Amino acid sequence: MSYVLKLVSTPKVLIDARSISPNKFAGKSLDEIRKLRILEGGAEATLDTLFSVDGPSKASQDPNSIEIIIENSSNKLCFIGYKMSGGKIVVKGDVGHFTGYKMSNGSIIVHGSARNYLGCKMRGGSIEVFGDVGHRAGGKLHGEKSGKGMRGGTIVIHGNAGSYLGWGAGGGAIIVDGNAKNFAGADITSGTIVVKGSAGIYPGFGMSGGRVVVGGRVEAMSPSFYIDSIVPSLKVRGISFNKPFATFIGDVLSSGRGVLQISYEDNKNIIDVYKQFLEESI
Amino acid sequence: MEILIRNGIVFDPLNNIKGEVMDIAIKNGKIVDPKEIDESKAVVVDAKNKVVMAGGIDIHSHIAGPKVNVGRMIRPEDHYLTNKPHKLPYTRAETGLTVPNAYRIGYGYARLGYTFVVEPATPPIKTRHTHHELNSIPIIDKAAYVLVDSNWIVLDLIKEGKKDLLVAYLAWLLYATKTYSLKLVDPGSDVAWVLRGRGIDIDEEIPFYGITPKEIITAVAEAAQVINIPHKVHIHCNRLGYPGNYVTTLKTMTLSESVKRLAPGPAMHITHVQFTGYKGDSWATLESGGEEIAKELNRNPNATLDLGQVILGRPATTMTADAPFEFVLYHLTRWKWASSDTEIDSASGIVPYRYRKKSYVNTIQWVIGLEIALLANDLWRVFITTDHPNAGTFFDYPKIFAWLVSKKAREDTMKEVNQRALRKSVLPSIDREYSLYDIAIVTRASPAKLLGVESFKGHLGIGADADVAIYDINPNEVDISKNYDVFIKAFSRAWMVIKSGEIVVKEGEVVKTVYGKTFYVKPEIPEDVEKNLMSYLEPAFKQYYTVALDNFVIGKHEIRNPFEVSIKTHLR
Repeated sequence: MSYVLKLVSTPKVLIDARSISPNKFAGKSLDEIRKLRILEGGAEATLDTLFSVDGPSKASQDPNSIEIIIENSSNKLCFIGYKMSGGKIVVKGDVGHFTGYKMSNGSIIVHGSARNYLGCKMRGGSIEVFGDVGHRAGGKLHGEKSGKGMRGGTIVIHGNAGSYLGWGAGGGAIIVDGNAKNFAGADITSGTIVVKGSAGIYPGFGMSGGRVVVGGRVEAMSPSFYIDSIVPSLKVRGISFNKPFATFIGDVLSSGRGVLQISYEDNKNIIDVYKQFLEESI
Repeated sequence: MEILIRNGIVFDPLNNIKGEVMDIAIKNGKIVDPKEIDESKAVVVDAKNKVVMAGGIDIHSHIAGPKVNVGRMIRPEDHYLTNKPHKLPYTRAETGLTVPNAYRIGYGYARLGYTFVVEPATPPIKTRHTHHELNSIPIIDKAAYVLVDSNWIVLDLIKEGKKDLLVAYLAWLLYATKTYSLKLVDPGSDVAWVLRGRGIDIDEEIPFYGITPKEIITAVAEAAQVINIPHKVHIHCNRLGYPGNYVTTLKTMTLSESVKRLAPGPAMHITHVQFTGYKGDSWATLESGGEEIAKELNRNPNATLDLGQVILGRPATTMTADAPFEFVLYHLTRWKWASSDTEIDSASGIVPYRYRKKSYVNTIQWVIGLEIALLANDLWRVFITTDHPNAGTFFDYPKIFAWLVSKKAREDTMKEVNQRALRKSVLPSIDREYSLYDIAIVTRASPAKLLGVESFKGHLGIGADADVAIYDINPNEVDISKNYDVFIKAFSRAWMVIKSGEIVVKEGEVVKTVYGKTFYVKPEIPEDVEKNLMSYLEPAFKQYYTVALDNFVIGKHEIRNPFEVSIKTHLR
């Protein structure tokens, strides 16, 4: 059962489109879906003022069986998949901020780029983005405690990620095929963050648990980590790296026991400073 | 505008009306005899099968001032995603949950049917800011209590034994800051904390000054008697938030008997007593001291108290001028805190908190407030507050009403809370249930009496201000002690609220924005006393404050809709 939403006109202001979620569609007739409330800037509007909505005349009660396809999408559409607990959303184009905010199950696939706070505070399910994403993917909100970010589920990013990737996450997994910017995996308490490319400064800063893996170059390492070992190869979440990795434990600033693993060959100049400590401990 | 409310079920304790079906007529912002109204021109409201009460009065709610603003700043997560866009032409954007913006405070209270709210602690030097914030809160009437507990000039005057000068200074301060009453927060402990790093009990000596908090409380309470302000003195007890502090509270309450009285009525108000009603030696052995405090309240007619009832499972932001306690609380929560310090007056701390249902300590805290409310014999001396936003937000007041009117509501909540804590309390054995009339007493009539505005607020008699709340519930059909859900729903969204003769809320939605009055007292000070005071104050101000005396005084023009309450003092 799939609904096709096609953007009619290009929006100029941010749109609060939290009604675009299988949970909101469930049990409604097509006319009711067309009249779902959205906010265009500060003004109230209905779904059919921006989208042409096509699909079955009556949606099933179970959100799991609902698929929503957004065509011709724009990066002004925020809160898509807000608190969804099942079903599937496929976006052909870009999405705005807070995509998949607090989602607990189901999947979102974006054939484009996403802006900030992708999968913010998500509890389960999966998000796949084929383009780049903005800052704080899988993160928490400002002012919240560490561990209040993403709690479960997976986010797969095929492009690059912005800074504060998985900020304050308390579980789940984020896999980035490209590069990440500064503070990847900052303040995480649990969960796994894998960056296949390079990362900016201070990956894993303030982490108190969990695992951060950087397969490429790191711009700078936080001095608050201590080295544990150098492993010849690594396999994490089904991704194998056939090169040596240095394993760090930290961040001592938050008395953490998190694991930070960065590629040895790409970061020789950084890790060689630590190497003397490694030999001493052996 | 003329309004006629037809056939409402009226609860009006000040006029002794217990659920009679009556007509209420409103003309020019006042309640008048229904005969005076021309029915063809008036707006007729059919309130058949609906409860009609006067507008609610909240005597203690942190709605404005420096600490509220700091609370807003350190809690961005409280404002995230709570934005309600503005709706022209009536409402402004609303945001925030535990520390909402000024508009949400006004609209939120109006939706509950409250029309008069008092900000309970404003340091003198920052009261200008408090008034700026109060000015922007829509709909409700406002007032503020001024903090005098750690003011160096007050402490100096008490230390030097200059009682007449103290009275004159407090009277001048009330008018200079345009506030309504005096507030004491953990008297003397700011000084003790700065010099020794800990709070003190009421018998201990304050370092440097050599006086005890007891002397401060007595001196200020007696000064309040001489100034003759309607609400005498608002006391936040010493050792707040420490296990075993109920003894301090009892001692403070008994102090009210030794105060030299010049006027009838209660001499002291003990505020958010839940935070100062802990029995036991440590957090692990904490027990409820609610029974003892209720007993003392029943015995001692000179003291009044409000609850500071905890709402479990909802976020809160603790903020108080008791900075030492907030510092301790920060170490318990280990998250974040902020301190807002002012010159010579006071300091305050802000710590976000969440009361958990399964927590032993939080359950005891929840129990204490309800025990006191249910064991008190004289409802005219008990007030319902959550000490917003310390123990919960004011949005949850209907939940407290439900716990009071319905044993079933309490039992349903008790199933979810910490059972070990419940076994140590008497709450499960209390059968008492408030009636709607009792609710009208604790939320309307007695607060009006306590604030000394019972002649024109808190009732629906002829001549009163036309602040009316109508709730869509029929107590003759619905048994509120069984169907408490219906009761909560009705009281969370008032069916209609009338403020100063204007309909401001209809079916839980704000339809019109008006701005209420700000109440403050003007004690009359004889000329020679004032001259004497100024000769003392001018050098003291130069010595202590960075502000000149002339700039300290808040002008009447700085207040939107000022309402002056003139007072005949006993100053000679």
